[in-house]
Amino acid sequence: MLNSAGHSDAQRENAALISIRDLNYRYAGTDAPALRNLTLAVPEGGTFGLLGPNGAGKSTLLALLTGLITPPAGAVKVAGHDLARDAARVQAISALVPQDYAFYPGLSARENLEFFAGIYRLDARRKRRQFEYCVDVCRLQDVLDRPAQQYSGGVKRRLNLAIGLLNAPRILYLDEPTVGIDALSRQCIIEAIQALKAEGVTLVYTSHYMEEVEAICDTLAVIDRGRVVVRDSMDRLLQRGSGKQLQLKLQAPPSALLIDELAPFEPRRLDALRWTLQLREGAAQLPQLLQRMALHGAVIEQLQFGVSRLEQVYMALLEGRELP
Amino acid sequence: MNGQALKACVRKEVLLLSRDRHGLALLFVMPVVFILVMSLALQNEFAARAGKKIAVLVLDRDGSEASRQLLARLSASNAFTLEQRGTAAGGAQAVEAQLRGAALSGNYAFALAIAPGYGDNLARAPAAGDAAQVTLMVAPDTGKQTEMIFRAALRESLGRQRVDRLLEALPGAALGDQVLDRDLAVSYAYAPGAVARAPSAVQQNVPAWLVFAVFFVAIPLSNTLIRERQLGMARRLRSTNVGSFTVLSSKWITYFAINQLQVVSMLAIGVYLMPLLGAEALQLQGSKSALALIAAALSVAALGYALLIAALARTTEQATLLGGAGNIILAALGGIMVPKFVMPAAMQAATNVSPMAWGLDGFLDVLLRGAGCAQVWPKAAALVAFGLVALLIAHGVQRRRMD
Repeated sequence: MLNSAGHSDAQRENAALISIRDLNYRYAGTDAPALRNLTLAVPEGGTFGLLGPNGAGKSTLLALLTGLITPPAGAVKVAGHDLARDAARVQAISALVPQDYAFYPGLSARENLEFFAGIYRLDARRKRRQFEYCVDVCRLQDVLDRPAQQYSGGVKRRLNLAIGLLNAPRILYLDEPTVGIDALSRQCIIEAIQALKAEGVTLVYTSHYMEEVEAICDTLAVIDRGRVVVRDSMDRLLQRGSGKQLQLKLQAPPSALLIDELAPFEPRRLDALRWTLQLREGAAQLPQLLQRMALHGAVIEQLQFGVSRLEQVYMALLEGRELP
Repeated sequence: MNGQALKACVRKEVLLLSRDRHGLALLFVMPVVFILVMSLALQNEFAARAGKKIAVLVLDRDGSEASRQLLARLSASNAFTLEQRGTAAGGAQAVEAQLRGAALSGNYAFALAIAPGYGDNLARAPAAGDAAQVTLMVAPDTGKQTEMIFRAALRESLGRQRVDRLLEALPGAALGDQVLDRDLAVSYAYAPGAVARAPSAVQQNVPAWLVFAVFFVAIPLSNTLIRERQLGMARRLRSTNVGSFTVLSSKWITYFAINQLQVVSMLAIGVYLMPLLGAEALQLQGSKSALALIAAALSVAALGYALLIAALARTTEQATLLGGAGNIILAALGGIMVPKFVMPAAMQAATNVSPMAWGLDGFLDVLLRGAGCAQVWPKAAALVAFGLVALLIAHGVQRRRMD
């Protein structure tokens, strides 16, 4: 597969921290494979977004990468180790932050962190250092000794993340780490993720919040029905999708006459006031279009051209449409 | 297996269990309540089986040599404890009231009065219309079987005394007990020494409910495992390189220790608390190492069973239901709720399907029959085998589910 910059899979694999080649996986008792000939390379450093609808194969891929399911020999290499043969080494340099609150609600944050420090076999010095780091990054100081079952959803998510940071992983898998929490806690988690990124940790991130993915991820792969639909850098994907689409927000709904007038621009209604138009010949058509609209008395509140939101690109990719 | 990770897991299990008030109540309070209630409630039943004498109040209004002989003859049967009391003034009605009061007091199974002139009337044949020479009052809680036995014994004593008096007139025709007993030979179906003594209520109930309690680890242990699965903890732990063997071993170690604590505390209750409540103290006979062997094997069986429940159930509710109902069935079958020795032969044979019966028999072998390791090891081996088979099945079920 070539991306828009013209890099081949082989070139990417050479520079990849995680490389997956022709990976197939089928759950026992099911007809359809969860993953089919999946090939993917995740570069070292930065945030790699993994998008796809429910049932696309993201969870299976994460389960394979974190050693919960054994992949076929040779199909997955992480930091040069074959995951099938050397799972323990791979697990020692990686951590999973699952979508569930995967800690003991009957224990406090301190007790949960101490338990996982024991699981990761941290010596006393490293344990103290990592403990302080995790508490600081995830802002858990005020709740350390309270039972975790008393925490708000946001604090629970922060503790979930803190546990994932205890072994100072080189690769951190984040499975929808901000689902169902308030804006403040989400911001806290996003800041923690940005800090990890700055420290050189490779983050593999799945989420259904497109704005979040757009803000955090450097590279993106969209998976559907067990296959990679696209894999590219975020910038290039957004540029690919930006093309010739004009997004408008009007002050009042347009008249039927105006809609007829705009027919050559393939108007698409998002809601009563928001519309998209296609400028097939590019920005040169913009003055003419705006003039026609002014003649019909349409007042434009917002206008956007040459920028595409990830959600539109994502939807277009899944629907097999041409990128806007 | 890494020691640091194992230590962290064990510490976590202990912390979680120490905060689980319901789990602790199930493991420690429930069996204590059963031991106290069942031992105290069934004290008399067990005592009767063990040969405790039946209490009889006697009002000897005759005070003759003959009435004393009658009472001596009843006492000689070793089945009754006769307590004599003086007669209140006021004639026949007062005597009847006194008898009734004694029978209703709950202290005596029977109250009997020997009429004045009993000795003088022995030699003559009773005529129609004569008043009864002995009046018997039966307590309301005395079983029909006991009543019939006492009446038979009383009738036999009265009859013998009358016959003896008649035979006195025939020279050389003495009819002593030795002569009569020659016609009767008694033997016991069990081998001599096989049953040193019948169990008392405490001796039966402490090990029985202790076995029941040990199997109740199935509920907290399976709930912990299922909660870990539901919370995603199992997934997270598997994504570390800690290894499921370490995780499982930590649970096994913790709950094994809990089981041993249950055994020690229940035995201590039998030895120290029960006598304070008026019951017989538990006698710790037999070898201590045999006791420890059975306790350890019982724990292996209970933990294997707990892991099987955890593998079969998908929710904590299912595990609680399966574990609780399963335990009750095993207990009913295993002679925990109803002692094995009161069951008919077919039911006694059926108890052998329950591992609780193997555990209880092992404890009773040690506590009642003074058995050592050499005698109880087959039962211990059966319990360990049960635990390991349950563990293998649990592993198979879990593996299939993960696939």
